[in-house]
Amino acid sequence: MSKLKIFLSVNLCFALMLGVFAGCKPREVKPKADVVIWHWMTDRQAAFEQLADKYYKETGVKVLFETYAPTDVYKNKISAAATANLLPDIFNPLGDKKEVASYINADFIADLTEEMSRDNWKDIFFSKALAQNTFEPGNEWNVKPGIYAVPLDVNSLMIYYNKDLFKQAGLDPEKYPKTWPEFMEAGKKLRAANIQPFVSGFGEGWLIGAFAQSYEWNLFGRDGVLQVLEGKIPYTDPRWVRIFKLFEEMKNNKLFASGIVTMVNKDAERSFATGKSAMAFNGSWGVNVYHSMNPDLNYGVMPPPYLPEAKFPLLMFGGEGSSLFVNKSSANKQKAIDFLRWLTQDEQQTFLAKETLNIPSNKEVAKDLPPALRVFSENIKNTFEVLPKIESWQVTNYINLNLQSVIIGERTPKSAAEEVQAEKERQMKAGR
Amino acid sequence: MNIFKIKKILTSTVTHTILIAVALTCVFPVFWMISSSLKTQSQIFSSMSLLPGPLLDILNWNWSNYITAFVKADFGQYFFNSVFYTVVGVFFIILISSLAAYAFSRLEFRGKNFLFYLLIATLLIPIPGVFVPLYLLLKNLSLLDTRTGLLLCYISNGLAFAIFLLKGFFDELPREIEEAALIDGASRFGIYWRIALPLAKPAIATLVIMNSLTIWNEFLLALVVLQDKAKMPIQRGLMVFQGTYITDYPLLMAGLTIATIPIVIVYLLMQKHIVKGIAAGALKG
Repeated sequence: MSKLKIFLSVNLCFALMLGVFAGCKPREVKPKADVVIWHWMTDRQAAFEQLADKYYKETGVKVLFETYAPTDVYKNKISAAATANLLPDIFNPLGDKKEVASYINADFIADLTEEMSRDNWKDIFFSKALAQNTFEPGNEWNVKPGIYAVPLDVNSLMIYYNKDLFKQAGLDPEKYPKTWPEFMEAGKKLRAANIQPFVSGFGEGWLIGAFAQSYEWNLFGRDGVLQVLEGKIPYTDPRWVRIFKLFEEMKNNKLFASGIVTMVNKDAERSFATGKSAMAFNGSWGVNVYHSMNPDLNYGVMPPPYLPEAKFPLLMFGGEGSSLFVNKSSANKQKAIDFLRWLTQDEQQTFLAKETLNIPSNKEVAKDLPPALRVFSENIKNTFEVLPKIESWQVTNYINLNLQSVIIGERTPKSAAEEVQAEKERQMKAGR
Repeated sequence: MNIFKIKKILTSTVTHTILIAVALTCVFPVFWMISSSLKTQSQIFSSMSLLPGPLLDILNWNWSNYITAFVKADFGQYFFNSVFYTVVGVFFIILISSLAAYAFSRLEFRGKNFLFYLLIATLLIPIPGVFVPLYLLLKNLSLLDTRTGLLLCYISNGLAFAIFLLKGFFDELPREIEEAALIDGASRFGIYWRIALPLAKPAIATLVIMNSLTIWNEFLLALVVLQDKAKMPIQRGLMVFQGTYITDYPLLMAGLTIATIPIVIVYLLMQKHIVKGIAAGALKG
């Protein structure tokens, strides 16, 4: 190799190293704004940035929204930043109550109870949305009672139905099935007309679980659900066996879309949006999703049909959508809280609802939503109550898996209930 | 026609049919990506057609998706960042790994095997598993949210496999050539630089392609280590089109097509070396 080549190689190496080290001088992370928010809602970034600009013009406080998605990466970033004590001013650990409790107990999240009471801030929200961010006295995670997050929006899960396909099957598109037997009849008529009656992302365990839980509330009521959680009522109780039987009935009457047990919600949404299925169990975000997939889709929204024999009202999965937490040790804690207060006021929430088609957490604003979203917002009051206890993830997982097993005919409702109960007993034993 | 000719034709037909089928399965996703990048959102869900529209109407396909994707995702800045991370990262991976591999192959020192297997064992550690310790380490080194911090992660991530591959390659080189060079007065470094490294060109080409692909497509580390949008790689741009509930498929596919072009060019430039490199290094190693 010639001397020139060696000279050039050494120089290239040196230049590259210089480039790396000079261009990126080591330093501590310094925020470039008064309030930094880490969030995962990529589809809302543009709307958030516009609001941040507006807030800067009004108050001189600079707010920076930084997006990190998908959610599992976001969660990783939050947990890493928490360990290094580098959390931003506003964030969300994106976990269940148990996980949020661990952040609160580690002093990462500020208690907002006092701020929420000032000027009756808390009164502008849907109570369900606030309840999910509230820790009650005597909660099982030993968190100091109080409100710990500001809800941005709310959601609930209902059944969308395609009015054109209903008409095609000889059903009245303006009269949706209200009871379980009516639902079964509608399903049979749709199938007879060669239309796939029902679709949902039941391959994602939480959706099948959410559908089943509606009937748990319907059959057991609040106290009953709590007793099941506490292990005082077993999953082999005839009412829980009945819940498993509902899925068997749907299977026997050919209501399910083919492959529903392995179907992810994105595929279920596509099936409904393209008119391949007549009904879809999905969240309020579906309004936005279906609009983007097929703006001409003619649909209505109905609550899951109740059981005529049930003694309690049928409730739906939902309540809090996205919430934001304030970093307890942030130097800009007050500025962060003031911004969140501003963000949840009527004008900003109206803007967010219009731009993102989500149901705002501010209940006054939710009255002026488009028709389909309004149905969802009116039903927020019918979402599950927040309980002081949650089911262990292992048992929840068993419920979802066994519901899927019933759909594919692998288990009978009774044996599925016994399987879940066996897991519940294992978990209770382990807990003791 | 004799039996040998028939056998030859049959073997050739079967081989080519299988190869064409495999090639089609590889090419189809790329074709689908390009085709989808020229459709509208509702077309993607309503039409299963492979073409975005009639061929005669090619000028009216949604070519503007590319401009929208480029502008909306701020690809200009991200593109530069990704080129920088890839070029510098790959350069240092090759430089450090070739030196280390040569040392593991030719030099005798205490604990050589232990160190080598320790290094190889790091291949078993998944990246998400080290997020928290890595984050803490970078924080303590004041390298969080810096290009240097991210580059060091990329380099260390690529070293183990590169050393493994190159060591296998160097082990296969005849020692006689080096001994002749030693007799002629060449130093150890001289032998590495003038003889071993040029002979390892196929393995190096393989490593350049593999590491370029890895760094170009990397996303998780960048998102955890960096905060400043201006330092993010091109994959961050693609995130803009994937909402929590809605994905803008035409723009995402247009963005993906843009992001794929440089890596396809690298592959085409280096492809003649890749088979030779893997065969000579990894398999024998």
